[in-house]
Amino acid sequence: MGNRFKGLNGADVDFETTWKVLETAFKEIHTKNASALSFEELYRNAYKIVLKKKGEELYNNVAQFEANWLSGEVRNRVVKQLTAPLLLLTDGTGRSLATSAERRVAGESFLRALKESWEDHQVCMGMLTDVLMYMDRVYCTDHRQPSIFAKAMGLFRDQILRSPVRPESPDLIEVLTSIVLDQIQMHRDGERINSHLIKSNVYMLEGLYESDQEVEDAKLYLRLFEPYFLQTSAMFYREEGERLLKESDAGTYCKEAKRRIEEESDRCRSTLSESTTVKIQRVVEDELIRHKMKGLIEMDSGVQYMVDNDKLYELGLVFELEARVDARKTELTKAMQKIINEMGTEINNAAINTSQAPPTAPSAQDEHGDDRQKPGGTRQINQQTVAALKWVENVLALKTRFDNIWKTAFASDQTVHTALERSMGEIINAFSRGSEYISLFIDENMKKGIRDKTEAEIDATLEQAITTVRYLQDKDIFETYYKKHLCKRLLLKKSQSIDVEKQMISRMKLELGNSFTLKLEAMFKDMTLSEELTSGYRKHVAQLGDADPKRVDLSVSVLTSMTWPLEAFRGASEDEREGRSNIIFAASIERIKAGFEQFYSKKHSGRKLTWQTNMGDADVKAHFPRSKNGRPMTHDINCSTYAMLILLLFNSLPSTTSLTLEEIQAKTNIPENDLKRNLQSLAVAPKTRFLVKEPMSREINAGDRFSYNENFSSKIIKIKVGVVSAGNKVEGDRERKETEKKNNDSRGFAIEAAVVRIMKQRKSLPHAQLLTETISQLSTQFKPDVNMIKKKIESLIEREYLERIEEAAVPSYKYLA
Amino acid sequence: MASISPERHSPTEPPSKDKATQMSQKDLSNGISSLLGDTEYSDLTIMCGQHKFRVHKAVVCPRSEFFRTARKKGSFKEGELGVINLQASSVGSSDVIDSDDPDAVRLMLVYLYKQDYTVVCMDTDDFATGCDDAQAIAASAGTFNASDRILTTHAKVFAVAEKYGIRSLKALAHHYFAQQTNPTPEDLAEAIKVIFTTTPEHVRELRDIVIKYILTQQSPAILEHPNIEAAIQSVDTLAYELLKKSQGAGSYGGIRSQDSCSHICSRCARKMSKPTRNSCLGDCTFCGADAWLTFKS
Repeated sequence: MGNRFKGLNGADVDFETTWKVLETAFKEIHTKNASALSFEELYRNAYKIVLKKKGEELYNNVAQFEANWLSGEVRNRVVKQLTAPLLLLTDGTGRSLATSAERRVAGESFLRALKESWEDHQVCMGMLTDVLMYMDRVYCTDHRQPSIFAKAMGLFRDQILRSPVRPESPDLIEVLTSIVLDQIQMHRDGERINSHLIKSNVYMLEGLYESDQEVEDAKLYLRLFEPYFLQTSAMFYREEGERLLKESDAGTYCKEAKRRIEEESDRCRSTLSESTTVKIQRVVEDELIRHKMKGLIEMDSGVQYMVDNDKLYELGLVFELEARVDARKTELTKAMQKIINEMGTEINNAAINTSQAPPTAPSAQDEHGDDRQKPGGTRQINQQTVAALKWVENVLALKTRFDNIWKTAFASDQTVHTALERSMGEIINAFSRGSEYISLFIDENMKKGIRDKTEAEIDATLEQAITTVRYLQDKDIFETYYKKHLCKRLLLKKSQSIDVEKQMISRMKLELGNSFTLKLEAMFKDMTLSEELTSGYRKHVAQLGDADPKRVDLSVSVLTSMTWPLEAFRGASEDEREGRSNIIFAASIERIKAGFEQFYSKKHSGRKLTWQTNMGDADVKAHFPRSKNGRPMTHDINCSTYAMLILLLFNSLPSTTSLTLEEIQAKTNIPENDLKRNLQSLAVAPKTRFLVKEPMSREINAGDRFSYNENFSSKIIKIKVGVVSAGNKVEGDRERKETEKKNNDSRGFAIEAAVVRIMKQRKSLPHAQLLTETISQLSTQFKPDVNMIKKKIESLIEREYLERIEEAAVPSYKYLA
Repeated sequence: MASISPERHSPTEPPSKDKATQMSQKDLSNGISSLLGDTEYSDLTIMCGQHKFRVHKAVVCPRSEFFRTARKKGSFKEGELGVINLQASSVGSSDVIDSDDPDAVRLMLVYLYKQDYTVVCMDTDDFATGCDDAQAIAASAGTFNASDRILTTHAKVFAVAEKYGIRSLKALAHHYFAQQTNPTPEDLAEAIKVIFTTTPEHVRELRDIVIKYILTQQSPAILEHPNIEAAIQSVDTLAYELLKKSQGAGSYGGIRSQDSCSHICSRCARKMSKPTRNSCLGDCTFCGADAWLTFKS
């Protein structure tokens, strides 16, 4: 036709003719008959129209064509699939009228029809876009029109999705939404659905926008589908959560919740859109976890039950669930802390009860009292020991139990760990005798517990001990007790292995620092030096050539006075200390004592030796004429130094002569309490009754008379005389007060030292900061009392170490050099 | 001296990155050029009138959306057949509104391989070997005296470049066109027709050159040449554009700053009722004419 338009003019183009060519072709394209069409021809025609400035007409014609096609052909095809089972869906009553199988089949037909229409539309519009390439490039760009493809997509939205199914009824997209939601509900109820079909429809909704501007967040999926999906899901899970809480136990609940969350993620992947994953998870988490966590934890079958019954897997589920909604796992942590607290309090109360229980009939597990017939007081102390051991074991068991839960169920989570540790610390520190009991636990293990253990087991025990120590706030009190117990173990040679003792010390060093173990190490050093000293003295005596067989052998422990808590041995009052130095020794003993003092002062001049007679013990050979079935026999008696001195008195007396209590005291100068206790051991205890007491009674009273027991008999050759005061068990109340007082004093020194150290370095410092720094410096040893720090500052000011800075804005101090 | 000067043994300087890049670009373009006329790897045929060009999708399609789309499988006939048939205008005709000049198509394809084209020396056609119909080439070369119609040929190449969406070729044709400073009136007349009928009005490049050329001729002889006169008359907007231009009231590139201008319909002389957004003024709301006189206010 080109030749007819010689006088070329835009208006001359036979637009209608050209358009007819295109329109016919478009129809072919829409009916899938395009393979016979020539692209070149169509392109050329479209190009020509645009060339002649008819781009706008072309654009509008195409849009009109598409609108007609969609509303005429496509919509009918889709609406036809809205069969009876689907029609009542949208008003919410449809559920009951058709079985889900019917609805599903009908729904799938509808979804398939819509999906196919959409896909056809896309393919066809792709081809039209190709043909109209030049129009898009020139007309649409210049006139800021959406591309014809975008325009046609919008037409699909308006003509198909946003038009009512029939007059007065909801838009197709609402029907689509309710069908998809219905199918999803079927899937949640366990039916199989064709997720691929739904996914295709979701693709469509994701590819369409509310307006032709194609703003990213105005996708139909986001505007018209997702909100309803989330809303119905929230409703569903709210109900399901409540039902589950009522009908099942917590473990099942967790499993169900976890399954549901995973299921919803899967659904987003396979059926809906990945972009919904986070949102729907949030919904499920809100409904099944966040709003229900407290109820879940507090269920009868909740966390308490799980802990009680070691339901680690279920605990793990609870943890996993809460971790989803709360990085700090507040509810679970709270519940766990409460449980630890309750269990810990129980342990603490049990320990208090055991320690305060009235002495019961000799219990079966009384392992300490086999060779000692103790008076009531002793038994109570023993009970304390049992309580202490039990307490530490229980605490450790608790710790192990919760550690296990933490590791297995709580994925070794750091936040939870911190909370659990804090609770452990709280219950250990809530128990006023914690420090003492822990030290006692170590003491017991050092003396007995590790006897038959392998190295690994010993290691584990030490580790356990350190574990508990780690929690202690008042480490200084622990140090005091530990020193006391260690002192007794060393001096009385009760320790199973010095090696293990040293291992323990090095562990403490690692855990609590150098200063903590300084004095403890000094004690070991003293012991080593003393051994050398003793053997040195033996050699010295041998060199003297005095081969007197009756000469008393001596072994000495020289203890540095500040290092050793010697009051541990002194279970008595102050006045006894004065008496001790004036003990009257038998001549044979006195000689040796003098000999050693001489030897020692030659070695270390200027040192003063004080004899701790209350701490020593002696091996004595004693003859009893009728001991072995009426025949004489010699026994090796091990007894305290005081008992030895008492027994020696009777050596020089005729066997029938007796001595009164007062006479014995006068001859030995042994403090009264010690004397009475030793006499109790020697004259009352049946197995070691070497003396006869007159009158025979339990108590030692003034005027009692004692004499050599000629009729003593025993099958045992080696006899150990138990001494009451040597019982290294839990403190009595008075001792405790004393310990506390001493402890407070030493804390006072520590505080003063810290304050001075800080001030010396800083020169001047505000009050509040000085407090904080002092507390932080001392925190490894104990938790200082603020009032005490204030008092100590006052006292330092009085002693002119510090002075107040008068003109300072905040109360401040200055260091006085 | 016995010592050997170090320069003699120093290794040759490694080439700079730029040089290496240059070399590889040259290799690449040589490689592509060498494919011109190749039939061994050819996988697409483009027909235009008597011409049949055996080309390579890999060369042609990336440069032109038209060709890329045309050979897509599964939509149109061309994709199935592997042949694209471009409607050819009758030989030597300048009426190419509905069709393509085979020579312009040929130059376009040559350009796609060589990044350049030349109008003269048509006989040494690069496609000669690739042509199934050598006669057609010979015929076109014979009747088409290229050296007479250089301006027209560039205009035609420009037109196909516009139509098939090859921007770089448009630029090149524009360049060549602008270089022709002294065309014959016949050539100019022909070119005018080509320019004003085969490219859309908004494509200003060649239009502006022509208008400026006519207006800057000192002697009025050019307007009196019968071919020129016929050409100007055949393109109805051209007369007005020349008029506007000669009064200094318009600009080459259309009126962009609407605020300072008023538009008078060139047919009914009524003032435009409302300003339009774009350079396109649209039709007169009174008489439907689409030609305007623009005055600076």
